[in-house]
Amino acid sequence: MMKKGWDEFEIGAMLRTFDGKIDDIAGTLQEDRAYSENSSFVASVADWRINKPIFNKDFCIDCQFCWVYCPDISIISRDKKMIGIDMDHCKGCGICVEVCPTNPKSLLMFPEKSDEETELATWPAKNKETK
Amino acid sequence: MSEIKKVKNLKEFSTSADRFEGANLLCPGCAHSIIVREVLNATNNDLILSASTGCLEVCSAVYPQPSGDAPWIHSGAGDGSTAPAGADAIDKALRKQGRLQQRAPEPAVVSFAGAGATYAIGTQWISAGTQFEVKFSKN
Amino acid sequence: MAFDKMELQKIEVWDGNFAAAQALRQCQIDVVAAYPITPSTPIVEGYAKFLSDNYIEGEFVMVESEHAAMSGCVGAAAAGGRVATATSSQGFALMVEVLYQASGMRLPIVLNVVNRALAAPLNVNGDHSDMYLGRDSGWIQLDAFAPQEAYDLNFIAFKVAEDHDIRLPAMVHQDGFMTSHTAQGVYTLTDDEAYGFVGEYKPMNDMLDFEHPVTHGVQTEEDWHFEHKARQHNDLMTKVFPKIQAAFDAFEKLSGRKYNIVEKYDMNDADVCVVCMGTSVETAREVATEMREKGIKAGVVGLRVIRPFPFFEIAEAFKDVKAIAALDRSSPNGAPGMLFNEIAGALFNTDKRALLSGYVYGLGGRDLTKAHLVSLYTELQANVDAGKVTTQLQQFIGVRGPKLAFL
Repeated sequence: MMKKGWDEFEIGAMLRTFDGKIDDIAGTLQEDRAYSENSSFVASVADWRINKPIFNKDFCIDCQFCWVYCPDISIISRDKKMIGIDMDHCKGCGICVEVCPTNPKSLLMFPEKSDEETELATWPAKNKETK
Repeated sequence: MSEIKKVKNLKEFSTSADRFEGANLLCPGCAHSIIVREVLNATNNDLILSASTGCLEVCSAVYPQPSGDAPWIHSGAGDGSTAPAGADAIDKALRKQGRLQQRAPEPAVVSFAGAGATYAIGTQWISAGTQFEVKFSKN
Repeated sequence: MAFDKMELQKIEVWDGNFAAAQALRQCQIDVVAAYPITPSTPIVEGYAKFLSDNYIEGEFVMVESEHAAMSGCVGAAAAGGRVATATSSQGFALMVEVLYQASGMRLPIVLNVVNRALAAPLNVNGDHSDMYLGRDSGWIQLDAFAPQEAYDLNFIAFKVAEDHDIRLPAMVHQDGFMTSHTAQGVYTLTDDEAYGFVGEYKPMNDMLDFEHPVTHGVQTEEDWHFEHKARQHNDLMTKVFPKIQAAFDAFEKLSGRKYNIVEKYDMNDADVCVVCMGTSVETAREVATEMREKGIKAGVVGLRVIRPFPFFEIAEAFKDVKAIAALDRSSPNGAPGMLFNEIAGALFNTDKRALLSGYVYGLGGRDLTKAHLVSLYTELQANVDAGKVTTQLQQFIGVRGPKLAFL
């Protein structure tokens, strides 16, 4: 965002999250909100990542564990279905992979530069049950 | 009084519209925002949010792009309880006078402490917070 | 629910504290968050009593320290309502962190400061140490010399602070005990006149506007902090005085009582003058009149507005005077006094610089007697006659032991 001069912003370092008025924010999903330039939603922390998660929907059971544990609101879940990862806000912490209960996991961490299609094509097979 | 929304299971909970945003500056994997998200998603009420002077505050209220989607305030060290209590006091005073648009139910006032900001520079002055209904969440 | 109005006599016998409490009632403060400290306690106690007796519809937030009190006020003001509190001395010192928050967040809180000395050693009596402590905090500072002014200046403070062009907190200072606990006749406004003058509170960036969520109290680092501080300083320097003058003018129209940014007494033809604050101004006026009978053309300048500092008004007030004594009622602890320094700054680039000397007096409630002022004026006249400052630049008045003078 542009670095503004001293006379170009609201007094008191006050910031507004949205452009204009927002009714019923608790009932409005992120894609339907008019975020202003003064929300971290419009920023990206993608460059923080060393490893990135890749989502393999073939094994996903939509349990929503990854959604509830994601610290960065980066698991996109709509109508109770996991639909993908918000790569602008994901910091690559790997919690989603840790908590994923499927076998094999539906989410795995890969180096940031790796290619999604290649990794999906070579996804690990189901682990044998061990006691 | 604010109401906790009834949630039957995690799938239903996952339909919540988050009121805390990504690209905050908390470390990757930090549990602060997991807790903040779950607390905020527990109600559909209007929210007044506050944080003590700790990690959460310095990572989610950074000019010019803070991460809260609700009215949010941070005041001096130790005042994580009194600043939101003051806000709630205004809400009550204006309701009493009939000057506030009467919205039901009243806003939920939530203050987050923890990560170096629980006692001394967190919610040190706690009685005002209990006089007015501030909910504390210690991370 | 509605509140009751109070029938006031045209003149009431009030001390400074009660006058301030009545002003808070008449302004219909929505929230007071307060912690009691001598000598300011009766102000917030008075508000609480009016609240419980249904003369106000508001809320009283009971907190555990002055730090918390100011923070409660910050939260309340950010939420969007008329907010005030009162404190003194150590309490004021504890508040200091949050004073900067309040002004930086541009919240129009009114703080009644009943001036008292700062420990150690502990002392409950009046001097200006706490007032001086707050002078860089970004607040507007108004100074009352008597209970009447403590009452009137509260209305002025709300009128100026809450103006959407200003949005800066304001302090109303009065001297501990000498003003706060000394009952005098106070001309009152009716409840309707008073509330009509300050007007209904108009919210700005309020947190209770849930349809436009706001974030208050953000963190700014080296990339933004300077600009915000510069903005605040700019608004203090350029916007506040015109609004204060307009408020003074409107108040004169309403009440007939005239206030000035710099209060001049017998300054038209004065050769020597004293500049001071608080109750000392009234003592100095009395002595100045007596000095004229003795052939010394004496005048008095009292600072009504301390912050922002009335730089040009001060220079203007002293343009024809020959010798000035700046009276500081706070220990400068290793420097010339604040008034001495700031007046020197205001006069330094003027064509005609008067002889300026500084005096430290009245610490911890020590009286400034008329005898002190007589010898002070006499000393100033000696400076005029000699064409130079004949004493050292900084002298202590009224302290026991060998004479203390420096510089």
